[in-house]
Amino acid sequence: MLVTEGLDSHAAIQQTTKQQDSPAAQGLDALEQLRVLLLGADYQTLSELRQQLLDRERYSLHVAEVISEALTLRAQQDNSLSDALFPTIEAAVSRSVEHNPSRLANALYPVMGPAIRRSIQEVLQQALETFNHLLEQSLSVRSLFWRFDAWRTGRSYSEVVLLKTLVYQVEQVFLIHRESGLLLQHALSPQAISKDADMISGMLTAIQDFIRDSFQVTSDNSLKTLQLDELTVFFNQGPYAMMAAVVRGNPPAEFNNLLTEVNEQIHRQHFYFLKTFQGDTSIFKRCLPLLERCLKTQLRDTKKFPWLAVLALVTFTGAGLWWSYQYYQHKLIAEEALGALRAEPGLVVVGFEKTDEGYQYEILKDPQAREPTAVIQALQKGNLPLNLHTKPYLSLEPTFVLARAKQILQPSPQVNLSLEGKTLVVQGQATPSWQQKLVQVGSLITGVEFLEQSKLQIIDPDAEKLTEHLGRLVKQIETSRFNFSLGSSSLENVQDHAQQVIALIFDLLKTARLMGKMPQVSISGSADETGSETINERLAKERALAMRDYLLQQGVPAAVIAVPKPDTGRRDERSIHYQVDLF
Amino acid sequence: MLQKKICLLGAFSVGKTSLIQRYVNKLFSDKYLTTVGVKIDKKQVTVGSTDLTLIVWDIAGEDDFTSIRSAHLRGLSGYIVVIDGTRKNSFDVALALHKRIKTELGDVAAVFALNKADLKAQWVINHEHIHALAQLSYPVIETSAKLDQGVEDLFMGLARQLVPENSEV
Ligand SMILES: Nc1nc2c(ncn2[C@@H]2O[C@H](COP(=O)(O)OP(=O)(O)OP(=O)(O)O)[C@@H](O)[C@H]2O)c(=O)[nH]1
Ligand SMILES: [Mg+2]
Repeated sequence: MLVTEGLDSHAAIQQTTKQQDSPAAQGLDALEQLRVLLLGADYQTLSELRQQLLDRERYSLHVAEVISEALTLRAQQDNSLSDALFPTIEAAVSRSVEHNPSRLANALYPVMGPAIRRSIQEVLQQALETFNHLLEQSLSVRSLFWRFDAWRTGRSYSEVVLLKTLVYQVEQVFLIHRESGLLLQHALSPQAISKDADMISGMLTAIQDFIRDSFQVTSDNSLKTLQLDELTVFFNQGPYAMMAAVVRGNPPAEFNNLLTEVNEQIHRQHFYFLKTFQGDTSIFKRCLPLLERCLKTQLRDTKKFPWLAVLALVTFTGAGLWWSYQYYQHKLIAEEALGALRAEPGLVVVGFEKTDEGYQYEILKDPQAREPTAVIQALQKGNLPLNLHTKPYLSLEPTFVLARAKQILQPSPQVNLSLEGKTLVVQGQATPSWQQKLVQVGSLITGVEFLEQSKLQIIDPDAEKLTEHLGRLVKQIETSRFNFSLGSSSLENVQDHAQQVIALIFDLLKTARLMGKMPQVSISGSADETGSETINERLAKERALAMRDYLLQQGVPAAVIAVPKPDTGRRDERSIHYQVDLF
Repeated sequence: MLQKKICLLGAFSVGKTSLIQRYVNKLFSDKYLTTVGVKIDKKQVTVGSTDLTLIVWDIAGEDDFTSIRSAHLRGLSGYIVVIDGTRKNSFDVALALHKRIKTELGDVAAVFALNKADLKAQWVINHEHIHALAQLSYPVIETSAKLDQGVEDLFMGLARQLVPENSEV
């Protein structure tokens, strides 16, 4: 109802104006003349000017002449120009990108590269600093105290760390509609946790209201800060919006200025929306970057060169390099060892690999070959793990066959072994027993199939010695004499003689047997020339028989003592003598 | 994103806090803990095709010693005046508050809640009282925070008035 009334009266006024105009139009010429009379030449200029203002084209021309100067002038006065232009420029730029992206890309190309490089550099720098920060925290003795502190105060460790290392941190910034306490925009630092910002916004306003009401202050004077333990809420009142910043620690005085600056800028940019705010907060999304500008953090000693991080990095890199150098060196040595093992006769490398325990070599070793460890001894320095796993095998290489034959046959220095194809050629002099062994074992040696021993001379050193000994015994026995008394064949004082002869005979018997012979000892008697022939003959026989009987009686085997022969030797003596025959 | 500040007003102990608790957190307690100052809650609602966030200010009830601070009422888009059906005094306080806001803030959306409907046997508010309220041409809704009766309607009754295209419906 009210509105319609208003409209009606307005229309009525317009109508009356029209009514007054129509008679005046009729006397237009007269009035014009009067004007010319009154204003003279000035009138011409004025109407000219008026024409200029009304004529779009001419007016534009006029403005065009001064527009740059005007902009420059205004820009010198305050920031309003950039605030005013920025939505337009933003829109223009996005239009341009939509229209033809390559044009803007080309224009930006020279600045993009450096900008990207710089931002990467910054990110790296930041990462390094964060890393350093972490290291310092986890390494220092301080951190122990902090943990204790956290335990004592029941706060989380990270909270305590933040407290101790922070000069200040702006955790949250609220942009609040002053009248309703509604939250227009909210910025939160990544480290901070926030309860429902809408509700906090309301409570902050309620607190403000409460204080203002309770202490009867004027509405211009309002709560500037609110202190809660380490948290401080800074308020900045604008005509329509209030900014509230939740800060941990002690920010510098300039922080308040920053809040003021930002709040003013928000008011400049969004004055209309703030004034007519009816609960639609979407438009204030644009303020987020501005609020985020206020999310500042200052750590203690941030300018410090990140020694620890750099040190750690250098150590890691150094260790890495050293490790790779070592690895490379070890690999070289391991391969060299492999070469040496492969080149070594009698060793066959059948497997080579690198495991966690080092380098593993699977080796077949001929018993005659050099120990693999000896082969690589020169290379095996330090604690380089070269592990040799040796299994025996028999090599068929001629040198190994020969070596094996020598090892098995153990030839004396007089024997010379050589290999011709698969034939073992044996030359030189050897004992029969060795030869026997050679025949038995020779063809069992791996790699030997035939034996050639035509040039082997068998020499038995024992037989020679026995023959010699036997000769000596024969001679000793044959030169032994036993003398009788005149005309007697009884054995007087025979013991000594018998003992000696019996020993010789036994030795003879043994030695002859060793040579595969049978000895026979014949006993002959003789007499002197004094008696008659017949008597002497009888006496000689009796004497021989007496000795024979005695010897038999003493245990000499009967087979050894032969029937006494008639004494052939003409001896003029009263004795017996012996003769040895070997069969 | 539309946000609106609304206030719950009324005498002390009429059930303002209980109504909000019931509405926002689906809880009810027989214990009476008087509200000191202001407590703020929020609730998302959808009216037609509009998403709306209600920032609900629970303001300490009026009694002989404290009257509601005007500062808390600034910028509100609507309010709920709560009356305890079992107390005549709460009815008087409600009318006085309503009048005061009308003079201070002009025409804003409002709803009257006749709370403690589960105790109707003990009600002292009768038809005449209710009729008088209806004369003010704002919705009057019987509620029970205890039994969750009319609570949703109460807040939606206000929310509907807050969304522009629905305001005349
Ligand atoms: N039977 C019944 N009791 C209720 C109901 N609503 C609230 N009450 C009880 O009424 C008492 C007061 O409730 P509150 O919600 O604290 O009242 P309030 O209006 O917030 O009071 P102040 O904060 O002091 O102004 C509590 O004991 C509630 O349990 C209801 O619907 N039915
Ligand atoms: Mg309460």
